Amino acid sequence: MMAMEENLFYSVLSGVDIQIPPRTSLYVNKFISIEKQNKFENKSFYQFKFLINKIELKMKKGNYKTKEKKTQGNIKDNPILEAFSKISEELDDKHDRDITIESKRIIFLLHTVDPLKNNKEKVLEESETRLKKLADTNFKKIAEELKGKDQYQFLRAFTFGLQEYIEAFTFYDYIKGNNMSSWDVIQNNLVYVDEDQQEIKCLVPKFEHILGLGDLTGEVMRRCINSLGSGDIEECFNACNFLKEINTGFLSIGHISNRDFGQKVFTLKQSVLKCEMVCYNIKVRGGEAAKLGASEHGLFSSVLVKDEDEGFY
Amino acid sequence: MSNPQAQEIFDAFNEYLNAEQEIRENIRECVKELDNVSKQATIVLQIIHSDIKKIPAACQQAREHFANCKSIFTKLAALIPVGQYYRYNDHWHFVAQRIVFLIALTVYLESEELVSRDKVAEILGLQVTQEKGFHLDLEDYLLGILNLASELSRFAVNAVTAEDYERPLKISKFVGDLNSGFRMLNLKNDGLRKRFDALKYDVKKIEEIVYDISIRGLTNNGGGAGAE
Repeated sequence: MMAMEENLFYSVLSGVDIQIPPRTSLYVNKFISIEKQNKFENKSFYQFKFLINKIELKMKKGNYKTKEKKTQGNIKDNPILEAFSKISEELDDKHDRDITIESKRIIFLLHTVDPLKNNKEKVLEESETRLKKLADTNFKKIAEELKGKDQYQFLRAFTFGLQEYIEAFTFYDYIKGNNMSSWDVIQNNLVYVDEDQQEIKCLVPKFEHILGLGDLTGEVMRRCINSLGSGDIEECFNACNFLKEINTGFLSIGHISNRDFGQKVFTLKQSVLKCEMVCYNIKVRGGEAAKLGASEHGLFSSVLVKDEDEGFY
Repeated sequence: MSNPQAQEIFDAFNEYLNAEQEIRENIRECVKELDNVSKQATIVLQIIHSDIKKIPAACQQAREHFANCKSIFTKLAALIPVGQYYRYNDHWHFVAQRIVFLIALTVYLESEELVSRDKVAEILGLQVTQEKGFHLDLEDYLLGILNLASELSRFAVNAVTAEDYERPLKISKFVGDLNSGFRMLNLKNDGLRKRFDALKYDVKKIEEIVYDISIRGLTNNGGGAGAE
């Protein structure tokens, strides 16, 4: 029995991601009692303390894997877990992942808009219903879950889903007509009325909204490059101008000492430069770049570009 | 503390610390203002990437912002005790670089010349040498100029998109000269050196643009009409 526990602890110590079985805390307690009796002579006390801390930390973080879905043994033995795991598990396991996956699918769907297929209305319609469904079911559950609680406390549990949702929502906006929804619009989407006629909502922090806009730029950049492939030149310029505006907006924020944020600004800059290069190549290489015949002015005399005017603006 | 001597020593030191703290607070206020003004100028000048026609107007607006910077710098200079410029310098060196870059960009857009350190100092109401008082640090000036090169490489791309094929040629010559100029300096192994090492990528990018438009005869002196 001892040998197995020892193995377990040492694999934790060496950073191997193991499955900590339920009732680990019992082991920890057992271990402590053994240590007290000094029966564990070949391990130094500090090493051993360190080990226990590490396990407890792992359990606190909730990134322990269990074979069973219900980890009652753990929760009963650990008050910290008891306070946190139930709700975070509820949010983490179900809603957050569902929202993230569904949002990603909506984004993917929106990428299929193509002037050649003339499918814009249909795709927009479907995206809209799916976005609405997300707001009315998944987010509503979260809002009910967090009713009357400090939402910032559990923000971590649903932030990824939320960011992805904002990205999908704003991308839908962009495809629809090049505009950007304000924070109020997005927040109002996630306000509900519960059975006692009270207003409940799923909080959208303003910071997350701006980060979502930062994520959106990656999608717009992809759209720009895809449009080049399908010969929709106008959309390339459109996307590029849209990105330039967002970039200017981010420049106006200035420096925020937040690691995520800095990373986003950097990626955004890269996206802008990429799009600018796409537009530049269309201008310079004309036909070579877009696989279309270039007229002698370097403009496109192509059937695909419907309303062709000087410079596509 | 029961030891009066110790008490005295630490009281005096605490006073000194408090005084320094206060100076730093005031400096931070000024720097925040500078930051705001420089942000506004940055936004104004972003127009160069999307609408070439609006450049003269943008330069004019930027100039107004620089006039504001001048008055804030005057305020800031009054806060710094004589001979302690480098004690507090880390508060404003970042924003100073940014303002240098913005001024350099504006001057380049107006006259296609490199703004001199004296000229920047004059626009901001600063001295050039340390002896004369609150001055513009040489390193800040150079870093601002390096940032100009990066912005111009982006500008060259967007100028082509806006069908201004002459501009990249001029930018190429200008940034090439900057590069030669920096090569004449013996830089230490510090941040400036690192930043200078990145300059070659800007040079390369602009050279590629010039190559692109030259082989397609898109420039006037190229003589050709399109790449048939």
